Amino acid sequence: MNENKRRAIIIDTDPGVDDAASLFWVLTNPQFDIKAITIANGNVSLDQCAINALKILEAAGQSHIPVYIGAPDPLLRPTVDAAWVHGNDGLGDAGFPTPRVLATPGYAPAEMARIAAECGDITILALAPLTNVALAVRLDPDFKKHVKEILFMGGAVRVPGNESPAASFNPAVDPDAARIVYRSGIPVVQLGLDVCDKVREMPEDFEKLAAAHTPVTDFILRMLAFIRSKARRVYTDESGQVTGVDAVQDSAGVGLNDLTATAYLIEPGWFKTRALYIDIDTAGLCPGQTVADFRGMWGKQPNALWAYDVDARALVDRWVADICAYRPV
Amino acid sequence: MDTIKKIPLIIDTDPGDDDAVSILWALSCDKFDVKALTIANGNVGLDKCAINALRTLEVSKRIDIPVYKGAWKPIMIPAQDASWIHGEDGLGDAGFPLPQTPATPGYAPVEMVRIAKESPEPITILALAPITNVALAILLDADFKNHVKEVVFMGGAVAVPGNTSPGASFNVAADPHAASIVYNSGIPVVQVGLDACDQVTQRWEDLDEIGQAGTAVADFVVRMMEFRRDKAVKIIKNEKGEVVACMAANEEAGRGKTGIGLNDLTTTAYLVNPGWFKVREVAMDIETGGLTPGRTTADFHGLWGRKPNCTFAYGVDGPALVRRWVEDMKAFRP
Amino acid sequence: MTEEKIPVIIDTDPGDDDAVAILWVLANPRFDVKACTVGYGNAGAEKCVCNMLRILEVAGRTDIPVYAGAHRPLLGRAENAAWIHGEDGLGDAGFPLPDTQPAPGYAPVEMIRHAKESKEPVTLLCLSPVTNVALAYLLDPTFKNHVREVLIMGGAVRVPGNASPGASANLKNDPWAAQIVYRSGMRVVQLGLDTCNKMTELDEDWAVLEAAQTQVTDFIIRMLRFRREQAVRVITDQAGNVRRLSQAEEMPDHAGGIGLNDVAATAYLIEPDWFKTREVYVDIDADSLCPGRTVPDMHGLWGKAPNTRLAYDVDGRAAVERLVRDLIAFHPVGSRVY
Repeated sequence: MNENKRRAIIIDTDPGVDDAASLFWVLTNPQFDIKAITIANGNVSLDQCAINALKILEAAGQSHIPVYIGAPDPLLRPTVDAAWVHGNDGLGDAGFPTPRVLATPGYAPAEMARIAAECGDITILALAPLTNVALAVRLDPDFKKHVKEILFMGGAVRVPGNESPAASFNPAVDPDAARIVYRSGIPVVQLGLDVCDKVREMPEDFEKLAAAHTPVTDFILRMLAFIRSKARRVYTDESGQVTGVDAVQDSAGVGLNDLTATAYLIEPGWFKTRALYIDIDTAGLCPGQTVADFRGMWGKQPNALWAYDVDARALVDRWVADICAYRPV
Repeated sequence: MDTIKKIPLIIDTDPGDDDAVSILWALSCDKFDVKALTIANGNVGLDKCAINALRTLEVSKRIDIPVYKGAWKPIMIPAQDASWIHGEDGLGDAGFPLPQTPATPGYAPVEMVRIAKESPEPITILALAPITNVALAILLDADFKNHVKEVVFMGGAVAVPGNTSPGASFNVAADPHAASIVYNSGIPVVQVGLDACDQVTQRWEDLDEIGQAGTAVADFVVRMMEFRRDKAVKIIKNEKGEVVACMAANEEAGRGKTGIGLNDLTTTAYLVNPGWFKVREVAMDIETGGLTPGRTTADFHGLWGRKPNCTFAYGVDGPALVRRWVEDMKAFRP
Repeated sequence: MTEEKIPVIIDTDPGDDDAVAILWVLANPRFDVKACTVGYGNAGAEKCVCNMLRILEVAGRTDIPVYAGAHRPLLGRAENAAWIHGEDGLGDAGFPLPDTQPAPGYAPVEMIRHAKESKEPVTLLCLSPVTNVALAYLLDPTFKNHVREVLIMGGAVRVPGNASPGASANLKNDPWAAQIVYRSGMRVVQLGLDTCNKMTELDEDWAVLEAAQTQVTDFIIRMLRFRREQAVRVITDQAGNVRRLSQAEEMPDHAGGIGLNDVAATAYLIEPDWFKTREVYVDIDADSLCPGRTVPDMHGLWGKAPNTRLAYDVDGRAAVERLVRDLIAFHPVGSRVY
């Protein structure tokens, strides 16, 4: 394959079991030139996320890709995690060994800006709160010129949120960063809950992975045992009455949201999108809410492609096939 | 013949021991025609405040003045109280008997509008509580503001710290939205807040001197003040609920156990004699969000490009004020 | 009398669509309309009062008291919607001034009195910013015990707002009042744009109404000419470019006709069975990009008991057909000819 034709990307991530499933997917596709993995605070602590990224690269036999650690906290707000989904270690508490390689020295937002300037036309797959990307926007006034687009797993327009009634996790954790990015002038593809909620990875998909029995499928299945069986959060009122139960798994399988967002990188044709102006609420009841101006009332040019529908089956089938076929060196 | 026209006055209040002494002082002065006491939820709950207002009127033998109950909660936020300094009953838990007179039927904001419109002269409102009732009156009747000369408000902290949060004083913090409505209504506001109040101390010897008068009024005042004088302590807890500080009322605002500060009295003093005060006309607005809702922000440099809406009291002759109050209380024999 | 009538207070800012909604209620003798309390919104408060009196004169129901109330939101200033309702609020059709006067008293105070005097708890039909209801709640802590439910024309959950990307006009006009009412403990039925967008008065419905030529339908036809033929919404972008949207362009949901939102909300009073609803906790964003946005907690993340019956679907055709039938059959006694 012609090296020049490979698409340059940076993956900003907080692994995270669904981040991991996504990273493997990108790593199996040679058309992508992964320049770096930048680590954001999110699903679990920053250091743990970095360790997990290194574990994934090791399992995929691609430890040459640099991992840069970024911002330890959201810009203005305290850290929130999602260990209830991902397990305390972020990879389903499956007991994977400590990686042998270390993170690369360098500060993620600065490296992101450097790599973008060197490539001139980078795509950022953003699977975490946008703190690193926002810092890169602020570090380098030319950064926005060097970024082709940001594929962002985040947002909820016509569907409820999963972190608060109207906001999804990634923008809810750092709404101020999300606003900086959405207002930066860099085109954003919003791959949020509107599409993610439509995608389920089913038991039969996992059976196919198990049958393949490669090091990568074994890793993925061990990692996903927690989210497939135990991950669950219960909401109660003051008197202890249960008002809601959030389980990422149900009889119809599990929803690996980052995988859906990553699918846009693999094959945009699976998605229906609409160009819109979207802004991020940083105040109010649900900070991090993505507010889409469908009627053009704010008189702004579209800054985002909002994904509202997806061919879920095609996406999952391709993920399963790609993962099963991958043989790390 | 009465040659000097009396000032038509409504006292909007949440008694409150310092409200009670302020009402007594206003009633002891010939200068005021007190049309009504309108009651707001504040220092303690609405019903307790109404009872205390009636008690105060009975002590003053002025049960001809109607007491109207008004706002039972702030406009947007939940009610908070200040019983730590006023006592559970609002009058220092001194065991005063229940009043024999009831409150007059009617909603305070509605009656406030009626009285203002019936008065031949625009009325003055002495606002000693969270300012919910005045805000509701403004919202009810677009014409109300034309019948009000000014609102003299015990609230705000500009160059001094707040007493309820680092940036806000109690009456504004307890209903910042109401304060925002009033300050932006077009009615002139005289802000006699902590900037002036913190400069005034009622010393132990002042209270003793009143006590020695031996009148019914003097007894009422001295008994009521025992709690604040000796017992009132504000307990400050951290996020975990641990006690991190105890603040005695008699040490508040740097008074260092030399006496107490009856804030409502300082505000009332502005009506008794404005000459005691240093004031400045300024555009003032209220923070309704942020770290310290209820903070009063003064635009001294005119950066907002607004006309002044507020007479801001920043200095006061405390000793003169207190002396006059002591004399008036000793002499008040209704 | 065989059946107990349903006691209703209508809180409104007429408004051409308020007018049709109110005439529909009055055409139904099942409702005991205790009072019409008037706020501001579609037009200024004084115009709204004037229009309310006109509507009752047309309906021959000048026995119903009209009370003037809130003239502005709790905070900030009122904005009107003359672009769609006309400068006078009733489509600038040149109706004469009313002969009647509003009753003395403030709307929120009289709302409390009527609610307390009613044998059964009252239903509040709210077709305007809910400032009057919020003021009634703030004035009297027992008011809420006398209210059966608050039907609110407002809110947008799965559809965009019509006053900002996230908020409907009534709630945007006074988000603070809306927050007070939703949090008050009173039962809210949210009849917002989610269902209003699904109910369209088609051109053929107007043809049927116009053919009826009653005093009521003549009034309605004249009043709505402005909205149907002239109303244009002007949106200016940052660069100063102006877009002019006709009703059809502005509201693609109502192709082939118009959507009268207050009428769509009132349909719930006439026949709740036309609606699909869900019990949910809803709060109001007051301080955000879209003040007045309704935020439903569909997954129970906030741990609050439901406070709202949220309408998400409606049989719009059934409702409109009934509306047309009821209006044509409405021959009020003592109606003033406009």
